Order: sequence, then structure tokens, then C-alpha cells
Amino acid sequence: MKESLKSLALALLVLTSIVQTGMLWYSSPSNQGNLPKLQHIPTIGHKDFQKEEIHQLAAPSEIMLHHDGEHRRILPGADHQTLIDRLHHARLENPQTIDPSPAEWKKWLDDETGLELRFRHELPVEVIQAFFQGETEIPELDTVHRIWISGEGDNNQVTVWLISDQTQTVVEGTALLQNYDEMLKLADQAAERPLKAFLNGKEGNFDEEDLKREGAVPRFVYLPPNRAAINRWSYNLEQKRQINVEDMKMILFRNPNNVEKTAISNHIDIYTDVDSSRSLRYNEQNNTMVYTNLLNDTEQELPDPREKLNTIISFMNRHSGWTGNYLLNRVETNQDNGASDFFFQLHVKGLPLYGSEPFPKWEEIRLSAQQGITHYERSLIFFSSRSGQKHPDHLPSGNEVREALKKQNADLSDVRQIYPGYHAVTRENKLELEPVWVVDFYNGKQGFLSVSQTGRDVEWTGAKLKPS
Amino acid sequence: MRWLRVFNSVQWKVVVIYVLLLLIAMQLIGVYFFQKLEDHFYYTFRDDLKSQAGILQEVVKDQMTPGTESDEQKKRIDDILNKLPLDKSNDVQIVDQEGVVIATTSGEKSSEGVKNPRVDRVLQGYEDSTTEVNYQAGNRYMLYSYPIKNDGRITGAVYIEAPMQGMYSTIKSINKILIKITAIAMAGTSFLGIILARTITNPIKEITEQATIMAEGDFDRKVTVKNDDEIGKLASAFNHLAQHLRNALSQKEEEKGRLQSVLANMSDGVIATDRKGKVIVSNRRAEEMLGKKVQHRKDINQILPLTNPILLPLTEEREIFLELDREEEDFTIIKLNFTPVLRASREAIGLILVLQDVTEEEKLDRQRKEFVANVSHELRTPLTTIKSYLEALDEGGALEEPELASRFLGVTRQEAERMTRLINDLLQLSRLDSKKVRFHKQPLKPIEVLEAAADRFRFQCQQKNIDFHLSLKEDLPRIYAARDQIDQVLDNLLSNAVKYTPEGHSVSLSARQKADGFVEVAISDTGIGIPQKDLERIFERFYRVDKARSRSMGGTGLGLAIAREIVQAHGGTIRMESRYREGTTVRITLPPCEPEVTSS
Ligand SMILES: Nc1ncnc2c1ncn2[C@@H]1O[C@H](COP(=O)(O)OP(=O)(O)O)[C@@H](O)[C@H]1O
Ligand SMILES: [Mg+2]
Repeated sequence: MKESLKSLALALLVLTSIVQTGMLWYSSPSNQGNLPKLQHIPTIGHKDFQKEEIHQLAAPSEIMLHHDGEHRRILPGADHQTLIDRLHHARLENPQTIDPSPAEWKKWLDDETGLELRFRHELPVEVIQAFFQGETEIPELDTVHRIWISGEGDNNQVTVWLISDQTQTVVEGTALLQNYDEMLKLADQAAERPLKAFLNGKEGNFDEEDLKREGAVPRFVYLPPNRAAINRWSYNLEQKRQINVEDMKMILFRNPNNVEKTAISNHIDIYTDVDSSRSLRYNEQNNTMVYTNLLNDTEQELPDPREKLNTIISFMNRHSGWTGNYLLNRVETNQDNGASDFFFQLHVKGLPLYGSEPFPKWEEIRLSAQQGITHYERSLIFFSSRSGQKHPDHLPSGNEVREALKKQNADLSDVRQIYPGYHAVTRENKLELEPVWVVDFYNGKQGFLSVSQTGRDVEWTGAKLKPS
Repeated sequence: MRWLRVFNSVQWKVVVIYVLLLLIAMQLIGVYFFQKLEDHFYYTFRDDLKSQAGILQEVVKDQMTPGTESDEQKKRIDDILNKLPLDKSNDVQIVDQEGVVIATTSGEKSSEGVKNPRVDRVLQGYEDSTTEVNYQAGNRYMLYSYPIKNDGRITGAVYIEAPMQGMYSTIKSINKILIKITAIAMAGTSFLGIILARTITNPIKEITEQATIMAEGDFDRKVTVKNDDEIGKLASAFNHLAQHLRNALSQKEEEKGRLQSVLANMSDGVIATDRKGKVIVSNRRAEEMLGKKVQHRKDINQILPLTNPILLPLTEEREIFLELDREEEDFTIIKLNFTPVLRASREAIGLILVLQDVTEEEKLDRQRKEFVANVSHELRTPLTTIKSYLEALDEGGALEEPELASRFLGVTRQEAERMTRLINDLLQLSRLDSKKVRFHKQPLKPIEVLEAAADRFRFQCQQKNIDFHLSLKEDLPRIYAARDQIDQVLDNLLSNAVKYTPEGHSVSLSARQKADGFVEVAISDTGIGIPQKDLERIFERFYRVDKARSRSMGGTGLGLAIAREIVQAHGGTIRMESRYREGTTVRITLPPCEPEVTSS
């Protein structure tokens, strides 16, 4: 019995050795399961909103057409883009600082024909360089607030003023604009009704004294004489679109399979990849996300803002991150790391959107880039622009604005700029975009003026301006 | 289990062991070899990919900007990929910093813009390059990632997905060759193993057969010794063993026969038992002595009619006398000598019983004792008589009466004479016993002797009114004898005849020559005769049929014994025939003086 047991054990051993050898010979690494698969990057927005170049993304929120003392606004749209693209073909030449006299300013306002690109904030001069061909060095300017293109159009030669309101500096150069006449014609077609120019609260017919008082670079405010017709838009709240945070994870992490999710509170999850250089903070309540990549942040040499914008463009286009017409609003230097934060503002029907009460941060996307994207902050909610319903509405007239400002113990001299925009409010399960005058004060406060629902009064929302 | 029994032979074991050894060796070699081979192919393959990736990296790196690429750059990289002479079976991807594929050699551009997380670690700068092997749709692919570095910064990665089935089919074909070789080698080994095993097992089988036959008792077999190896030595050792066994066995047989005959022919009986007392050996003599069959395996205590059974195991020698009364008068005395058979450790493992018939000795002993008793008795009787008469004389004043005194003295003398006679007889007997008597043998004429004897008793017979006949043949040969002793014999016998024959009856003395030449003298009477039962013992010393009568007649009871001693000393015989109350005849034969003359 013992013997046969031994034999049996031996036979088993031999059998297992053969089997194991066979297994070894024919074995194949079965790490198929562990191997991450190729991931298609989900796209979230519509291709229409993609911007290919810096000048498209950094396009000004308004272009003012000045012609024979008439001032007409061109809002973002197809023609607006065409104009900017045309400008982009030009090369800036011989830039040099000038000091225009009040007489020249008066002439500029009253007689000359030209296009004024009015940015909402001062932009780095490199960004402005991207509006032109070539790498022309621009002296003495760090930031630019306005670009003024004027001239008779002889031989398509135009004069270009780069104006910094902040430093009160003007740089003059020349440029060759192909078919400048056509451009002006197009601008003429695209422009809205004429506006009245205001300087320090004074309406029109400024004398040299007025201009002199203003400083080296006068800043005009344009308001319509009468109520301006404009549509109000309403969106069904149920039509809102939600970006899946899983998609974001897919987009933002190199290896989405290696991402760990940590819930740090009831409604905040943090996704980190293995080396923790990238993190995605998702606020479920607000439907916002903040993505940071520390690794890309540690670069010593800060690249040109143009490179950063290019990186942003490629990055956003890759996942169609522009869920609407976002335009560069401002560039801020981050207090923490000295990086430039780019803020892009959503424009609906050509007007910037304000009022994030229903959906925090949804009107603005914040991005920073070094070698790659280091910061990406946005709302995960968006509306398809096609789903809106329009209702005719009006913006208050210039006088109504002035009245309203008086009620706030302010006048136009306190105002840095006034421009049309939409203010978002939720009403009866609907998102209403009310047309408003956006009033930016010099002290950084902001308020909105709209025609009240009754249509009789003017309504003031936003900052309670302290009388200065 | 039954199938295992098939392999339970040295032949199969050798084959199986050979095959297993080969199998294990081939397995070890195979596994090691293939691991090395696979490693070699693998590393060669990988190095190939590495050099490809290196070249690609060099070419592409200038097109890679940190961050994300523009369409123009993508196009340029695509162009580079198309121009380079790359292996078309490999799928090469250029991946940017974000892990997104920006260019690929695979026909469809579907993988462009897709995130490839496999290059993640390379992009993170953790590894110079990673290799992974993937198994999909039955084929293996090597996935190789290589970083694209620009000024020491990782700006992207080269990712190559290369099918490995070419490499594996090569390995597989080598594999098949090895397996074939193994199979052939195993077949060959099995064959050789069988042959080898046969050269070993066949002689062993033969030896086994011979041993089986030997076990049945045939020692005359021989194994053929084929060569001088271990098995040959075994065979010759086996033959040697057989030879020795044969000799030893015949020696043992001889010894056994000898022992048997010793046992059978021993005058003593022998019984041997084991330690429990069961008989294992016995001889015929023992059976004869005990008068019954001694069965083997029977308890010794059942065989021996002992009053106290012997306690087993026996540790010391013991001697027991056993008296067997088979018939009345005729008894047998057997001396039982028990000797334990001891081991070196003093442990009894059996016993040997020796039976000796000591009946004769015992009889002699008794006779001797009886003789002494008789002598003392015979001597005391006359002494008592003498003493009592002498006392009577002393006390009773018998001396005053001379008549009475002379009568008393007469009796006293008579008794003294009787004692003298008795002592003479005893002395003579003792002399005869110790052969101290010197016979003056001489040729005698029986007639003279007999006539002289007859003359001595004629007067007595007349006195007793007994008819006395003497009948002698004339031609009796001379006898060679001592005259005095023969006279004594005749006197004794004739006196007996006269003594025990009442008045009026007759006594005759006759002599004749027997056919063998001996002279037979017969003394017969028609007296009281002797009862049959006494006849046997009549020649014993002091034996008398009627002690009182014998004594009254002055007999000592030694006459016949002396006569027999003398006759036997002469080489003759003495016989007594008698019928109670009818008569007695005593015949003696004596050797003739000249045997040649007596032949007629
Ligand atoms: N002829 C005979 N007839 C009868 N009895 C005899 C005869 N001879 C001997 N015997 C018996 O044999 C015995 C032994 O004889 P023996 O030896 O001569 O002794 P004793 O004559 O002294 O008694 C006698 O006692 C007697 O009984
Ligand atoms: Mg006698």
C-alpha cells in the first residue's frame, strides 16, 4: 500500500512537472487587464466656438467705428471676426511713442475715420502683438487697452495707435491693410446705431480744455441717445447641459485609469493622479471644477504670453472646451505663484454675460499655462445657444443711465467704461438673460443697469457705489 | 493499483527511471534554454525598437513644443513619419506631453488625438523607457515607449506597438524541434533501458527460478555464469551456495541417520520434549520400557505414570525411579533421568529424559539383602538354641542330671555342627563367588565317582527304607573335573533326594552320555516334590520350599546353590524337574574329558 502510494505520488509529481513545463512554454503575459487602453478624448462643446489663433480668442468685446463724428459699436459676431482677421494680415511698422495733443484727440473724435478696438482690460503687449504679423518690437508699452486704426486708406496705409489707458501712453505705428476701404464698408454694415460720446459726464462738443483736464489719454464713454432695442433671451433650465466630471477626468489626466478619487466633503471630490502633480477638484453642489497641474507650474522661465495662449488654444480645442463664445477678458498675475491667469468671458449673442447667481462661474473660464496647462477653472454647466427664446427688450438711454447713476450718488466721471451685456437671473424655472448696461467704476466696482420689467424705470443691480 | 503491478518489475522500473531522468533533464534544459532564448529574442527585439525610437526621437524632437501642438506641427511630424523607412508592421505613435497621440504610422488616423495612457510613466520621467507585452486577438505585441526630450525636458514620447508573432513562431519552431528530439531520445532511451534491464533481470530471473526449484529440494541445479560482473558473481555465489547446501544437507542427513540408529539401538530409552513438555523425540526402547506407544506432541506427564507430575520447565537434573507392575511377581523398575536443555541464558528450552531398566540390579540388590537377612537368620537360629540350652543347663541344675545334661549338650553340639556346616557352606559359596577356589581338575571316571557316592548313601537309604537304584552306562566317557567338588555336588543332591523322600519310596542315580558328548547325571526320587512356583527360585541361596522341614532335617538351604556354582564352574549345567507330591529329578551335565572321542 505504502509502495503504491509512493508510486502514485511520483506519478503525480512527474505529471505536474510536465504540465508546469508546458504551461511555462506556452504561457503568455496576461497583463492585458492591467494595460491601460487608448482613450478617446471626449469633446464637450461645439466646434463652432473653437478659436484657432490668439487674435481670435483675444478679440475685443467691441470695435468702435468712428466716422465723421459718428460712433458706432460693432459687437462680436461674424463681421467682427472678419475685421479682426483682416487686421491680422497687417504688419506693424515703425512703432514709436507719441504724445498726442488735445487738439489731435479732438480731431480724432470728431473728424477721423477709423476702427477702435476696445478691450475690456489692459492686455499684455505681446498679446496685442499677436494681432499683427511679425514680431515687431513695441517700445515703452507693457499693456494695451485700445487699438486705434485710422487713415484715409491711401495705398492701404493706415496709422495704428496702441493706447494704454493705465500708463497714459500712446505708441504710433503704420500698417498696410489690404482693401482697407472694403474693411470700412464691412464695418459700416456691421455697426449698430450711432452712440453719443461722453467725457467726464459731459455730452459731446468737447473743447480742448475738457480734453486737457482728462490727461494725456482721454477716455470716452459711448451711450445711445435713446433706448436701444435689444433682445432678451430666456432658456429653459431643463435644457442646461452638464459636463460629466468623468469626461473631465479623461481629458485632464494622462492616465485616467490611475486617478484616485477622494471625497473631502459631502459635495467636494478631489481626483489626483498617482504622482499627485495633477489634481481636479470637483464641487458637486456648484457644478464647478478646478484643475491644477503643479508639475507644469514649476518652470523657471516664464514663456511669452503668446505661447501660453497658444497652449491654451490647443488645450481647449483638443477637448472642445469652449462651450460658448469665450473671449479673453483679462490677464491677471496670480498673487500666489506669479503666474498669469487668463480669464475668458462667455459672450452670448455678442454680449458678455454677467451674474453667476444661478450657476457659479459659468460666465467665466480661468486658465493658466506654463509648459502646459497649470490651472483650469470653470463651471460644468452650459447652455446650447440655439435653445434660447428671444423677447424684444431695451437698454436704457444715455439720459436714463445718467439719471440712474445720479441715484447711486455717482456720475459718468466715476465710470471707467459702460458697455452692453447680459445679466443672468433665474425666473420661474427659466434662465433669463436680461440686457444691461455694465458699468465699471474706477474703484473696480461694477453695476448693471436695465429697463425694469414694467418698461418704465431703470433698474440698478450690482454694487452699491459709495459716493466719492 | 493493478496497472501499477505491471511496473513492479526491475525492467520496467529501470525503463521508467531512465525515461524520467531524461524527461527531467530535458525539462530543465528546455526550460532554461527557452527562457534564455526567449530573453535573447525579447531583448534583441526590444533593442531594435529602442534604436528605432531613438532615431525617431532625434528627428521629431525639434518639432515638439512643450505643451500642446498646433496642427502645423502635427502635419510636419506626420510627414517625418511617412518619410522615414519604418517597419510597416509596427504601429508607431508620436505622443505629446499630455499623452495624446499626435501622429501615427497606422493607416487610419483614428488613433490621432486619442489619449495613450501607456506612455504615462515615460512622460512623467519615471522611466527611460517602458516595455510591456500585450496579448490580444491571439497575438503578442510589444509595447515600447520612449521619451522625446528637448533640452532635457520631456516633451512627448515615441510609442511603438510591434507584433511579436514572428519572434514567437521562431521560438515555437525551435521548441518543436526540441520536443521532437526529446521524444526520439525518450524512445531510444526506453529501448536501451529495456535491453539494459534485460541483461540484468534475465540472469536474476534464472537465479530466481533455480532458487524456487532449490526450495523444493532439488540441489543439483546450476546457474550458468555468463560473465564476471556483479551478476556473474551472484550466479557463481549462488552455485557455491547450492553446493554447500547440498553438502551440508547430506551431512545432516547422515548425522540424523546416525543419531536415529543410536537412538534406536540404545539400551536406554530416550524421550526429548520441548519446554512445555511436549514430546518431540523418542526411541523404540523407551516405548518398550514403558510398554506403550509414545506419541509425539503428547504431554510427558501423560506418558509417564507418575504419582507426582514433574513441574515444567525443569531447571535441574532429577532422578526418579518408576516401578511398573505388569504382572504379578514380574516387575520392572525404570530409572528416569531428567536433564534440562538449557540455553546460554540458563533458560530451559526443553528436557531430555533417559529411561534405564534397572530391574536386574534391583533384583540383585534385593537378593543380596535377602541373603544377608537369611544368613543372619540362619546363624541366629542355632545360636539361640545353643544359648537357651546352655542357660537351661546353667540354671535348671540339669548338670545334676547327667542324662538330661548330655541330651542338652547333644542338642547344643548338634546346633553348633549345624552352624559350622552353615558357615562352611557360606565360606565355600563365597569362595566360589570370588573364584578363589582352585579346582584340582583331573579326568575322572564317572562310574567310580558315582558308585562311591552311591555307596555313601546306600546305608542311609536302607535305614530309611528307601529303595535305591543305581543305573550307569558302561561306556561313559571320562569327565574332566575336580573329585572333591563333584563329590560334594553329588552328596548334596543325593542327600536332598533322601531327605525329601518319605520311607518306602525310591531314589535313583543314573548317568548317560548325551548327544553333544556331555555326561548327564540324573538323581531322581519319588519324594514330596516341589511346587511349580518354587521351582524357578529353588537354586537361590537359602531358598527352601518348607523352611521348617528343611531345618529340622539339618538343611542349610545352600546345597543346591553350591551345587549349581560348582557345576557351572565346570562348564556344565544343572536342571531340576519336579512334580509336587510325585517326585523330583535333578539333572547335571558335565563336560567330557576328551571331546574328540565323544564324537561317536
Ligand atoms: N529331592 C528333593 N525332593 C524334594 N525336595 C527337594 C529335593 N531336593 C531339594 N529339595 C528342596 O530344595 C531345598 C533346597 O535344598 P538344599 O539346597 O539341598 O538345602 P537343604 O537340603 O539343606 O534344605 C530343600 O529345602 C527342599 O525343599
Ligand atoms: Mg541339601
